[in-house]
Amino acid sequence: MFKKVLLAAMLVAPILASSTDIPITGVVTSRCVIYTDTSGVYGNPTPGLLSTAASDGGVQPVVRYDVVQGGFYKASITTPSSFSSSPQLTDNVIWTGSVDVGRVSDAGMSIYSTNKRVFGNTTEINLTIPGSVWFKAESTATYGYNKAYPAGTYTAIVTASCIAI
Amino acid sequence: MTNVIPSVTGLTINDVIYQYTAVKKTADPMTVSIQNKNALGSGYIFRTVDDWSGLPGNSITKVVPVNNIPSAYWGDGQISVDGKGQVQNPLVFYQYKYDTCVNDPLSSPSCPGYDAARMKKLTMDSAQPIDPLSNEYVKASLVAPAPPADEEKKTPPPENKEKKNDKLAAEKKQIVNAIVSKEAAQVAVQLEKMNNIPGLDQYRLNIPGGTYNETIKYVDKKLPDSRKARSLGMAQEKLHGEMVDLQFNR
Repeated sequence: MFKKVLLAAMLVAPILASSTDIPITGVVTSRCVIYTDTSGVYGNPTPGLLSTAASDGGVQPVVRYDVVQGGFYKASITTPSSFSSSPQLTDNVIWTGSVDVGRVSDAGMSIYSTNKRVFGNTTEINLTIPGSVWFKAESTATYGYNKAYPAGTYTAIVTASCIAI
Repeated sequence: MTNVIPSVTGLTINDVIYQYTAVKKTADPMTVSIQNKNALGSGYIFRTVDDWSGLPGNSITKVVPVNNIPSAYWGDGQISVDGKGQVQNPLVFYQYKYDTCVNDPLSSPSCPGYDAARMKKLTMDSAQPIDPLSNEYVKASLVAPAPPADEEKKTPPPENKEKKNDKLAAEKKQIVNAIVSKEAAQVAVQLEKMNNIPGLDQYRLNIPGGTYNETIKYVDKKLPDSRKARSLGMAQEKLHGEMVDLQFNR
């Protein structure tokens, strides 16, 4: 008798416990796009200095941020603190860097040049106005104390990212 | 603006792109207006203002879409500064496009007003009367003496053919005028082109000729076998036998 009841329960149980999972999918496209406007070039005005300043014969790297909606993203730009490729160096390199607004598509974006947070070699700016804004970075690398850089090609990277607030 | 935008009808401006550098102290008030006068009226056809008050100076590049305003409306442009500050390196671009429909709505069936223009063209065509007497062949046939009665029966007079052609052309015009839709009009034009192939009527010509009857008749009789052929056949059979025997070394 017990076996019959158990069998009946086993037959009924799957019907009562029936369920279906229905997936919901969504694709989010970033409303913040970054373009490299100008690649940077280090000038070498003195044997121990590499600089992107125009007065030193360099070219400042420029990055453009396109934001569809303001107030949702912040720009984070990190100037170099080491060479990604260079000849063998035996002494210390002193790095300096800065980021500023180079061009705007709306006059109100000009406030970004004052409303920026700098910590270490990273600059963060809240992108509060929709449109395009160009940021230019400046980087200098001084080798040792009055020492000359070994001849060769030096490469450093500026990292630009767009972070959702 | 004639030295900036080409003076062609059908040009419409769809974007104004400008750039300049505002040089000022942050605390100073400054507004920069980029504007174009309305050449066909008063005021401005385009005007945008950048307010730099309380902001540090900077370079600006801006794209301002305008809603396809015809080039005739665009008067002289200017950049004016109110407040303290300067504008350096100003540059203004006008992005335009050429609309072929403005000058000729019949240039494409997608043009607005195509149907009306097509109807108007068809109506104008049908309004031209066809005078059958103006045809040079008709005139010539009217001047020429009438052919003899028996000759007239053999070959149809040329004026009948001309009249028939004119009648056909008139009927064709009526058919074309009855067509109202642009698709049907296109088909009618294509048919008209096909029917007007020069020399097509040559296919309908009758070439004078007749029947050529048989003049020679061969009478049936028995043909005897050829003796030469028989001897040749036997010689070939004998040679074949010899060649076969050679293969088996017999």
